[in-house]
Amino acid sequence: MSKPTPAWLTTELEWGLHETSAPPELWDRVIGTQRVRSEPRGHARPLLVWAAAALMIVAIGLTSAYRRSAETHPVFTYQITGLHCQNPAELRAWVRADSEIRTSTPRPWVTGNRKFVLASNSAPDLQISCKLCHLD
Amino acid sequence: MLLAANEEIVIDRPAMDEVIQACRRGDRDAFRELFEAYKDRVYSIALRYSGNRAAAMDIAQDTFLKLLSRIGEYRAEASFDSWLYRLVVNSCIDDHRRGRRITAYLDGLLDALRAPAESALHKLLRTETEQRVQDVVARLAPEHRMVIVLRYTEGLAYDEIASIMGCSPGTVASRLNRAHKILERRLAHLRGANGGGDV
Repeated sequence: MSKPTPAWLTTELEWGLHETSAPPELWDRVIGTQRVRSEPRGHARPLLVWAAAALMIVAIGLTSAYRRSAETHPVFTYQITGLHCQNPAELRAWVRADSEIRTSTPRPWVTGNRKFVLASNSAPDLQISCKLCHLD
Repeated sequence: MLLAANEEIVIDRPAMDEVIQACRRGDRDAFRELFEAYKDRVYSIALRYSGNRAAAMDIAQDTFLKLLSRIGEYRAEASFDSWLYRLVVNSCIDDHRRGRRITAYLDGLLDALRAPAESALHKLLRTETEQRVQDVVARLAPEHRMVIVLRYTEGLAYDEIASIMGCSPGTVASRLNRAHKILERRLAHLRGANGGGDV
């Protein structure tokens, strides 16, 4: 046989769980939901999602293409022949004699305490390489 | 017979049938009448079961939307109160299954922090006691919690609770007994705090 519920517990539970008033905004929430549900369901949201996804794909594609272009553009590429020479005169002589470069030959130049030499099998590439520093 | 809008609305049986029929026909005023008549009961059950206001609003909203969409299923020979209670009980259980346990605890904590500082001491203590009871009840297993809420929030009899929950009065009694034992243990510190004592 179960023990009767203590009076103090009944009091606490009646006190703590008494009925309360619903907030006034409950009606607005019910009607608001009802109003939204009665509107015809369009496809606007899925279209927006697809459009955003398409834009993102295009943006990623353009960014990748730009980077690949930058990597392969003649301005930013040069081929190292593997030859090294500390004497600019010897270098110029070799270029005239043994390379196909007949126009402006690579000349070493000194900037600060550093010496730079550009060499390339392709004259146009070489000329463009100069534009790394000389844009004019 | 309908009372003034700012008083509790009580609809007698013949009028209730008319209101329900009108609601079935999509009469918005009829739906508003039903809403005003039952909103406090629905919200209270939702609040006492879930333990937090946000969940209670969601449950109450869901219940009234179900009422509107399923009013055609109500059979006049049954009690409308019981039918509506069944809707709110199911909404509570659905909400619980959606996993509000963690958020309910946080919401309860936020509610406690938002308690108005200007409350009188007694009101504050009473609010704290209510909150303590509420918190302990909210931690009961769902089947125990619901019988406690229907019993103490709505004052329903065992057979009414059984009809709503789809079980026998014996099962209701068993669940209440078990729930009382748990609550007696967890609320023992409140014994005598508000002038209560043992039988």
